[in-house]
Amino acid sequence: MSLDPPQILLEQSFLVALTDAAHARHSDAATLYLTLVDQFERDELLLVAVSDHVQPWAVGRRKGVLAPLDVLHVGHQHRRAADRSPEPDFAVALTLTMCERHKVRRMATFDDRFRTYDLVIFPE
Amino acid sequence: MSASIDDLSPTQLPGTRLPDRSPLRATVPYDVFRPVRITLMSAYLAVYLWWLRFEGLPIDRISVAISVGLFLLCAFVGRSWRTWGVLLLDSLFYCLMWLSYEKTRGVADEGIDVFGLFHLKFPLQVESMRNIDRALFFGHDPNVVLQEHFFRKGVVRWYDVIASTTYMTHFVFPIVVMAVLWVVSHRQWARFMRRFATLLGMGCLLFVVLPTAPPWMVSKTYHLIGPIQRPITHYGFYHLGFHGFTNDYKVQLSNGNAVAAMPSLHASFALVVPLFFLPWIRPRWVKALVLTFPVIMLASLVYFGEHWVIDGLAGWVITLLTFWFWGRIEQRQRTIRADRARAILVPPEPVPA
Repeated sequence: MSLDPPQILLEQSFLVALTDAAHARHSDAATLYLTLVDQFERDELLLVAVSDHVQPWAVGRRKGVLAPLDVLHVGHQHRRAADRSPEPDFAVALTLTMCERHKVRRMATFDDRFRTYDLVIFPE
Repeated sequence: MSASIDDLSPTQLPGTRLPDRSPLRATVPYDVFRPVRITLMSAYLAVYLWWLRFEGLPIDRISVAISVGLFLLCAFVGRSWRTWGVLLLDSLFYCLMWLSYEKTRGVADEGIDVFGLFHLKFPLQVESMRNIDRALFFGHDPNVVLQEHFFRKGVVRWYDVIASTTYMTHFVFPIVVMAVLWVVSHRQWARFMRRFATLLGMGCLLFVVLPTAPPWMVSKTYHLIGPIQRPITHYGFYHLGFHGFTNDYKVQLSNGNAVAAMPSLHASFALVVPLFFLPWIRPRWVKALVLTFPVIMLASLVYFGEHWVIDGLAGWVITLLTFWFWGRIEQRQRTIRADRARAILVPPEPVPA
């Protein structure tokens, strides 16, 4: 049993689509995100993102569209673990490492490579 | 009403593993420090229990801080430097909180200097709490009545053991909860500490504003109520073979204040832990069971002559107010963060011409 509400990780492809109004998937991302934000407000879930992924929005993040996000900070040990992972793509391996180490089992992403892992992926 | 997270994915409920998917554990290398942490924490627990049985319960602030520190060292082995940095900051806040509490409590009865301009000292309450208790109990003094009916000098009964053990939990129970939350969830630790620190702050404020003589003092010094035996808080605990740590080692940070009776932080602390975990407890009978703990604590405090009933009730009220206050603040913070996201994503309603 976890004391915290379930966490959903917003992966880089989702963050890019969400923050770029001209992105082809922006509308899908915004629709899902607004639903998640409603649940965040009711304390039914936590929205998290990997520190490397939110780097482009580091300045002013807490006042913008990503204000509800909490950041999972990447340490050297996470990078070392990602390096040793059988997953060939380092970025994917690092995201999976953060999910595993922080017990995240849900992810919002438009990157289909994550669908091969036992994560609950949004949008379906 | 918006859909819940499970509504969004009805076929992929948590715990459902689709057969063609790779488990994360097969992809992410195992955290080799995890078994080290578990082993160290288990060993620490075993040593702590051994110490508790043969050396006594560490109850002074410094011993308790050392105990917590050692536990955290075991629990954070192999964590990132950033996590250790956060732990260090948390620990500084933790120490500062207790130091402020002890110092403020210690000088509360002497009054306080306000910016060196004037000395603020409030009158000692000797009769007022006794009168309130008498009003609540139809002219009886609950402390005296309980001791008359249940206390026998030199005889330790089963209820002495329960009362004494409950009383002693005050020195470790909230601290153990803090330490466990520190390890399990930093978010929940922060939620707990906000409430706990606020409670200590409100307690100190009332110690200054309302210095109150406890029942044993009103009995022995002012002779305004019947005889009260004291100190008897340790009888039952010593009967079980446990002895305090403070008396043996003289390491403590306690600026005790005999007239810091209002509010009873014993009663507050006994309520703060059950109240914090209540939302996670589902069966109603278990909820009711855990809430008997603060009731037993208050009954014990009154039986020992350490507090008036009204002290305990005031302690409960400030605990409830603290939870209500922080519940509102945390909800407000979530709403502000959610609104910031909505303000950008939801187009403003067109203004009618």
